[in-house]
Amino acid sequence: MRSLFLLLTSLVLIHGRVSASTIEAEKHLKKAVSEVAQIADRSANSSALAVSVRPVLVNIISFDLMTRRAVGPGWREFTDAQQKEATDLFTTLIIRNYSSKFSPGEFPEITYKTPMCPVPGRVEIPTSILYKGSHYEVIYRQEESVAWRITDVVIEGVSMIATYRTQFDAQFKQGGAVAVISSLKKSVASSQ
Amino acid sequence: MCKTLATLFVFILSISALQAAAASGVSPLGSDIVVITKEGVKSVSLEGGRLPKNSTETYFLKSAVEVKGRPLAKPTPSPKPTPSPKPVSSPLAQTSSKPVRAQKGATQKSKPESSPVLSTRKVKAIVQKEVKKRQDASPQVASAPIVPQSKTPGPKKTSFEETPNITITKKSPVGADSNEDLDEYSKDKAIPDAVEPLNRGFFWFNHQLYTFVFRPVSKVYGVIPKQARAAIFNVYDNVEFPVRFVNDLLQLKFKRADLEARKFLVNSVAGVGGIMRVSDRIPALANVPPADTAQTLAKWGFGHGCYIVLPVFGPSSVRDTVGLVGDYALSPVTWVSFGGVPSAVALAVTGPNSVRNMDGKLNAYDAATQNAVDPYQAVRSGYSQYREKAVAK
Repeated sequence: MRSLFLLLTSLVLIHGRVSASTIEAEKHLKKAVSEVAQIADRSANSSALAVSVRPVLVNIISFDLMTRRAVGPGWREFTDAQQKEATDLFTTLIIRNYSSKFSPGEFPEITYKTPMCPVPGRVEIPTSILYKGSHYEVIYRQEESVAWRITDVVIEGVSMIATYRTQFDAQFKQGGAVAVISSLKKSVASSQ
Repeated sequence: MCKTLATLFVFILSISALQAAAASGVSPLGSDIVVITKEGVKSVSLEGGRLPKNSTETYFLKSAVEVKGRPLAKPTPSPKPTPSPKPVSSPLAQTSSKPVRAQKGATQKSKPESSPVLSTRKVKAIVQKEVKKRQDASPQVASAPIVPQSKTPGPKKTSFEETPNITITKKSPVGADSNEDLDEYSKDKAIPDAVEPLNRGFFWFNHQLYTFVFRPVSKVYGVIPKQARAAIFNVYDNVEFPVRFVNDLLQLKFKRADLEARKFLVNSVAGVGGIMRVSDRIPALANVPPADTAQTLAKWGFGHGCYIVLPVFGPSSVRDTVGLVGDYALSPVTWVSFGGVPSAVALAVTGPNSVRNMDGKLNAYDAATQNAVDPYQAVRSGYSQYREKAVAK
């Protein structure tokens, strides 16, 4: 009887921990989205939004992890300086990509669905977004390091990081770290 | 009942502990390991339940070499027998229930056994053979008989480069540059691109077409009020009901086919011929995933084939192109073109259907390419992932 009680208690505790983490992650995401919405409301265009939203996004998105995963195993061949440069450039690109999705004055209507916890320390929050009359399914992937951080955004099944990974893989095969950084520089410059 | 459950729980835990111990190389019993030396069989003192570090000896299970009814001899530190037995640190000897008899066994080990069982005799012979072999062998060989080649101290290497077939990589802390971290997206497979140069050519052509033809057309279409555009979109979407319904049936998704049929009825009747999407207000009908012929082919086991960029239509694959033909065949909008209807009427019917999706497709194209490092690769990857999700739904 006692063993059964202990077993049940441990199961309840594990479930409680998972639920607590998903709630915390969802709370973090909602707060972040609301902050971005406020900034987007005040911004005149997407370029201005990209500049003003950067300090907020740096605190809610793990750009470091995103860059590492987007580059893949080739990341180990980057020098420290190259890693820093690639992270800075990729951060700029991601923020610009994110900002370009919004039109001033029009902010999406987000419905949060039940969060999933695939492994401890990771939470996926599926959302349904109504924007400009169209519905989109967007999943926010979050991981807990120092705090909860967004590590990927999956729009209609298309992962942002997986898409960049395909592109960086091709660049890395051609010319290693130098080619990746050069292509990032080119992309950042061309989309300005 | 509770007692049974508790016993079962404890039993499962014990099994898990034993399995874990076996997996980690730790003997759960601790004292059942012996080693065969020149002097005979010696039990091994386990350090914290583990075998001694950097040892080159071959270890045996006690049960494999033990004579029935006669425990193994206590290990003696020197080959010469001493009159008084030295204190034994081996856990095997400490736990032995008959220490005196064990000592006796050690002194009598060279004498022939008086009443051995056949299997015991065989085991004894193997042990003696092993001891003799070690005595005959040179000290270097005896000390490291079954050690892997890589562990034997070889000639001194001056640098890592002199060691062939060994890759030395900087070990990274877990969570920083760990393999799991960097290989997170390695499983995402894009559709094979066998005709990339040709595809890139069509990609460039489509880009020009989108920029100089589609975008202006889409802008003109955008002049029409939003509600009117939404009504046009809804009517054509409703008319294309057979594509979704038939493919749901072909995929044996009868419940979804039923929902599609209800959605069509609701929108056609309450939505005035599909002008209004009344089904969006009914939760069960609001998000019915649309089926198409390419999905059906995927469900039937057909692979993508290779990636193809179709002129005008954009990214596709061999399977999806065949599916596209199937979708056109099932669409009533296409039937108008082949039903003896004057071409002007056919154009009037099919034209808006082509334009209604243009804005959405251009937006998707822009989203994929605007901040891309390589727009072609970005569209290809995005298309692969999107179709994978559509098939999985």
